[in-house]
Amino acid sequence: MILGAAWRRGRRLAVELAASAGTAVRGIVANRMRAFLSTVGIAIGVATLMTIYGLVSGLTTSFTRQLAALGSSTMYVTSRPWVIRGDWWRYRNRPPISRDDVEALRRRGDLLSAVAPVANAAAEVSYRGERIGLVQIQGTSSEYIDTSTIKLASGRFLSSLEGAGAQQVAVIGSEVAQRLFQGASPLGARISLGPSRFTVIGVLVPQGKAFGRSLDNLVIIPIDAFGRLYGMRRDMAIAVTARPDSLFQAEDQIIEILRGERALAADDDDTFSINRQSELVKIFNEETSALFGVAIAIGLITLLVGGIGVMNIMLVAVTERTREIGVRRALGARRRSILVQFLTEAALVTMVGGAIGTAIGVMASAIIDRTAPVSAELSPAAVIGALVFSGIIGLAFGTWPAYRAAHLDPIESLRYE
Amino acid sequence: MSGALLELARVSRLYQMGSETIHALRDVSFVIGAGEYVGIVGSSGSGKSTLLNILGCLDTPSAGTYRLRGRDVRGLSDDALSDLRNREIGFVFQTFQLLARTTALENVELPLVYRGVRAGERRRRAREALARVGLARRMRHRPNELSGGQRQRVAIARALVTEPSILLADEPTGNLDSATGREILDLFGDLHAAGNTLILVTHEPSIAAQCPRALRMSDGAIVNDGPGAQVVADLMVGAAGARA
Repeated sequence: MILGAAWRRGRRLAVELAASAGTAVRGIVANRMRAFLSTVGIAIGVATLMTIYGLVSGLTTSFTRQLAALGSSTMYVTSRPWVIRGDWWRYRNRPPISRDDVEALRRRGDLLSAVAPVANAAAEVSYRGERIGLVQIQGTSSEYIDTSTIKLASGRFLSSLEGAGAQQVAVIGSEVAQRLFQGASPLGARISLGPSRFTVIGVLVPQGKAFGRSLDNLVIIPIDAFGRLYGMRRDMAIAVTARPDSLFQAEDQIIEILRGERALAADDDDTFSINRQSELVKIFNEETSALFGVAIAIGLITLLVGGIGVMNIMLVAVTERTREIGVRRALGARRRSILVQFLTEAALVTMVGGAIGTAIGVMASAIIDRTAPVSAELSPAAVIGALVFSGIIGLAFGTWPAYRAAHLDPIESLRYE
Repeated sequence: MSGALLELARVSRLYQMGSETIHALRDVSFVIGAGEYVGIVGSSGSGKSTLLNILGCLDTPSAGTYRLRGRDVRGLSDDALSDLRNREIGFVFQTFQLLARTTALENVELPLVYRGVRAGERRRRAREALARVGLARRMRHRPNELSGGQRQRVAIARALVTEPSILLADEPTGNLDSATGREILDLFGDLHAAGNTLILVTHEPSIAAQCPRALRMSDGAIVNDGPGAQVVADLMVGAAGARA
């Protein structure tokens, strides 16, 4: 019997909800201009939040992809830290990383499983009249493959002999391979870097795009060949890998070896920095969370203002429809029925705004993704989340008007002019 | 008393207006049985609107008891009163009180929504009710596409669709021309003949005169209760006597 009563109550609520939705749709269609204007604030707020969310997830994807190539147990020894916080001048007189530093680590670093110099330049690459400008040229050694997550699609990486010497061999990224060879096998072909020619010995698996830039527009050559072409760079780094369980000891060992190599006195500061992927992630999260925190706060304030707009229009609607409320009460509507009706209407209005805002946000993200160097992406979950969230805003800001409607006196409402 | 559909015993209704207490109803007692057709007549301010609100469970007495089908309405919750209105009362208003944006059919369906009746069943019953008031061909029209008489018929169909114990009409012909008013009263006559209980509140003695029974109100009290023609005749005599 209790079950039966509960079932009847549930059915009545379902019937009322369906009828309320119908009434709400008719009300919105009849007053479409007003409904639209009242929900513009919600639309702007949702559009702002959606675009920010798209940017955050786009940036995070870019960043994760870029970092993925670095390898999580790889340390990068550089003359200046990747991220300088505080006084830049402290780092200004540091000597660049030298080949001697690399050699010292390689010889004496028994905790270090791979040590590879890494120098970067941007240059034109060509093959039989086919040219690509601004390709990332990386000079390194055979051990680089163990410090990085790059993988070979075909061919092989630099051998230890080639890595140590200045052989004219190259491992190329998938985009370079595609653009110069259009599907033909590049292995054994000789590509031109400035005046020199390099035999392609390997092709890398695609890594994708990060920050609007392809990670596959890349040519890797031996460090000495790189030095002859572009000079030894001041910004050379050493990629060092250790076993994941001895990372900290390995870091201590790097410090000890390099301080010895550079003959630093006991009270001198280090003249080099050890960078790790995890630190970058931390810094990225800190910097972006502050920025996006502000942006999200602005979006939420817009939504708050939008919500107040909807509340205002709902209060007007309650006043306008006082007689209707009286009639419904006379015909047997409970207070709850009236409450449900106006809440449904408020939620529907804000969901229309949310849908408009979502559409704008999706378009804005798509435009940013195409035109700006940063990417923006929106998942289906984000779209559904935005719609649900705007509905919740409607319920929250519709509560007060709906409560007022539900507690009107039926007799006075019927007489209301 | 057995057979009583509604029973008022010494019902009073007081309003507080600032420091003044207004007696809208004073010690009103009467009984209406199932199937009766009762006119309540009185000038404005006589208390008939207050009485109507109490009979319709929109309001409750300050003192005395009102029993509807044997059940004392005093102390009922707002929800219980709402349900009571839905099941037992069919309201017909002077100004029709139809929802503007909805069709005749949807207007008639409305009370069934609050009973949790499903859409298909609602539609079927609403069609039947509209057919009973002679509007089978106007179901898809909106109130602004209907004449005053047709609107009042829609309102009557809306009152009938729940098969209530009592049809409570408040000046149902007040906004209609006399010919159309005549038609509505004929419809009430037919409904009475079909066994419905009707209570018709009016300030026009000529309408009350056609009711099989009439109650005359004055100053919040029932001053006469009898066959409609008799009550109105007494009223005329009283008025003539006052003039003489």
